[in-house]
Amino acid sequence: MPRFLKERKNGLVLAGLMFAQAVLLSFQIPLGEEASYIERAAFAVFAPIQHGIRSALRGGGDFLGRYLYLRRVEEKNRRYRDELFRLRQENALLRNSLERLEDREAADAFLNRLDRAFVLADVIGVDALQPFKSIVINRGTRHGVRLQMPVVDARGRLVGRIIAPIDSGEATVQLITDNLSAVSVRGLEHPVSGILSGDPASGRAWMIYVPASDESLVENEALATTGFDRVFPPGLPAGTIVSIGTDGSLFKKIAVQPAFDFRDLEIVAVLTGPSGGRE
Amino acid sequence: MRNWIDGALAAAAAFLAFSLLRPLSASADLVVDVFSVAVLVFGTHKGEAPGAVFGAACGLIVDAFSLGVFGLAGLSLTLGGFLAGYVSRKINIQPFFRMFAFFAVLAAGTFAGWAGLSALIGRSPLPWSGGLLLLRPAVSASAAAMINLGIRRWKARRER
Repeated sequence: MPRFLKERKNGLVLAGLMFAQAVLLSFQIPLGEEASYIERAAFAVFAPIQHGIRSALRGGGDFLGRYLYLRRVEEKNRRYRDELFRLRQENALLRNSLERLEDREAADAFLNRLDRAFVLADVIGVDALQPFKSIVINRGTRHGVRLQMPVVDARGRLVGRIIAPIDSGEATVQLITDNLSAVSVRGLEHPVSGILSGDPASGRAWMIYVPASDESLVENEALATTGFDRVFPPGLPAGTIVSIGTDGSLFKKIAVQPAFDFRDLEIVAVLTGPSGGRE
Repeated sequence: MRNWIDGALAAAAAFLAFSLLRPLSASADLVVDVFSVAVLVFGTHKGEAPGAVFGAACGLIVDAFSLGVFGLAGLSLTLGGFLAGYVSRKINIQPFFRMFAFFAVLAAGTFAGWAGLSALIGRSPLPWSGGLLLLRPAVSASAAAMINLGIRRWKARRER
């Protein structure tokens, strides 16, 4: 190696790396939100590793954790028994309502379809830099997960949708708290529609495009999806209005607390059936 | 060759820590940047060129798990790894508090670089979470200083 290069090896390595990444950035920017080939490749390599780490830890087990877990099981069981009872009652009420609305066959078909319409997934990672933007789950195309499928938490509250990159065993979920997310929602008490867009800085969201002249929405009002966006099925709990203000523009400034709890996001359900996704 | 093996092990350790942080606490992701810690410690021990390469590799992993423009974390971590290697050879960072201050400045610089690039290129608001994010450089620096101290003691014991 020439002496000139040897003396400046470190600087050249840095310059080379910075240049390569600057080129990489310049390739990224025109793509916008679409995942690049390099990003997809990196995701394909590292997501299964992360998946493996979590699976190994789960498989190996933690005896102390299991002991503590068992101590909590009894209390949880009691809570679940109560919840099961309540859900059975709710289910019975819903079946009654459906039977009133439709004939028996149609109601059964509807309920059977709901049973098969989701895939349960564990959250195996969060966005490394912006936790409120996206998460990674341990289900992918092999399990029937496709782009744009809605994702809900264990209580059926809206979490987000499947976006690229997606792999055979892992997928990325764009949270509704991402600023690039847009969900059509409306108030449960007052049927005023708007778009729910996230605020990753605070982990909350904004309901936008509600005219400033509209006075019907109130604080603490629950919001649910409308289904107008043809991505999310109607009726999913999306959030609660925290505050309503104006900023002099044509639209109101409505802050929304998402219905799902980010700290409690361990298991999610991807709605794969006819009620979820576009496929 | 030794540097590559150490780098792979350090990246694996950082990746393991990153995967384990989330189950421990949802806020842990915000206050500790494990990859930044790994890059600063690695750069300090191995020098500027291996530090920069390791920073670029860690940046690739971080960006793979982040929405937005791919390569933002890579740039700041590459620079962080290089500076950790370069500056640690120019000044004495043996005393613990000086070492902590050194890591704090570098962690803050890496954080500022990432935040600046995110604002400039990513055009994405940062997850401040009521100021929790501002703890990241200090917590990362503390972690880096502790790890560095541990490695130094381990090396000293091995040489004895």
